[in-house]
Amino acid sequence: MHEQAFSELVEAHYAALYRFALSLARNTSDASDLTQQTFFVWATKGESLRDAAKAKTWLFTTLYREFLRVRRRGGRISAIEDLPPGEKDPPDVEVDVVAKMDAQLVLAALQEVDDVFREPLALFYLQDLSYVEIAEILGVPIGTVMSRLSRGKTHLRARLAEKASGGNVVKFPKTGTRS
Amino acid sequence: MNNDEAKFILGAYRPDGRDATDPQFGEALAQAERDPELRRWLENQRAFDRAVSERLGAVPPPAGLRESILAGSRVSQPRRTWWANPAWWAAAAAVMVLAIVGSRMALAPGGNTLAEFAEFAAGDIVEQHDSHDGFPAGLREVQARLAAMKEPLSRGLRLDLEELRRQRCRSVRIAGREVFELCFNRDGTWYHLYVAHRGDMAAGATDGKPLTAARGAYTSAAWVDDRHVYALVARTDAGALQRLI
Repeated sequence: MHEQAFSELVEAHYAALYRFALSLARNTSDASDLTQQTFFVWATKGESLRDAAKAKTWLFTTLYREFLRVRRRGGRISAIEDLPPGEKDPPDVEVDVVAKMDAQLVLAALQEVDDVFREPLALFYLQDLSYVEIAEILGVPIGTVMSRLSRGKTHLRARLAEKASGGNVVKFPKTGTRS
Repeated sequence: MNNDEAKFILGAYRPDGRDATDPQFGEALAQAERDPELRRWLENQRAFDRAVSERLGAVPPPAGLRESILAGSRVSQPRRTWWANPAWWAAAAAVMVLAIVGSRMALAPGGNTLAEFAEFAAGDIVEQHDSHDGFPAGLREVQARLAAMKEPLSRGLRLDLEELRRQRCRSVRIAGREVFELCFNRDGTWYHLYVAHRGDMAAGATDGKPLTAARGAYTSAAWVDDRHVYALVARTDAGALQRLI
């Protein structure tokens, strides 16, 4: 691939890919690795893709497969099954509250959503991806995507409400001495 | 369709409205137009989606990630990527010594030229080749033969590329075609011989004389015989190479 074209491809998609990776892997180091690996795969195999218009879907699909591959092999990406079980859903959150929340807090709320729902939600909120593209990337039927988006948004609203009310905060122990 | 079914479908409706013409949403959107409660729900849903999307879009990638991706790909891309890069050709043209002996020797109409092969070999040495440690043991004989050869390389040089592959000779690719590289030392100077099937390079008629190119301190000379196309690269000048060939 032409180096200039590759550079433009990276410029156009690396940030969105990184955010998707971050929503999956839940730490910046693994997310960076996944993003880098995705473009590495592109550099070595992407030339076989004839339809340039499908590059974006190809990249997201590749990143998702890389994530699954590393997780299957018991790599260092955090296993999402290890998450603590969800607590009872708190009340819904107002849109105005979300709009004023810190971006990292919104990301943290998304990362707490179960992976089955988090994956389509992350792709959906990158905005450029339709339910058809999401279905293609995740390899599930369109109806399943719609179902997961619908239920996932309910879960996300609950997590956001929890964050907005200051819940789930890790508190320092009150006992102990200062050294 | 009731409101619950419409909400189920509209949950996948993107907040920027780009799905407005998608027939999948047509009926649900029409229902939202008619039903005030569903309309309010949809407006709230879209506002929520916009807010989440905007907030998530504000999460910055780590500093240096983009540069790291670009740098990583440069050292990872297959040879053919380099080969197909017109920007590289433009830059290389500035430093290439077009010491074409005789007329231009195209390997074949539409195929890679001998000049390109010479340039490729010089570029590979400068950019990709590493130390001379760890030669496969099975290559020692052919390396010794090359080092001791009295007659010019362009005469009587017979290499079996299948055998080179079996002996795990280093190989690189030009436009998907396999090119083997053999290192040998003669009188204290390291030489690197690149060889590929002439058919793979779509070789056509040439006048048999070598063509040279330069890259940094390295010079490359390429030629063809009836079976193969070759390029010899060394840290020396074109005259020294041509004496060997």
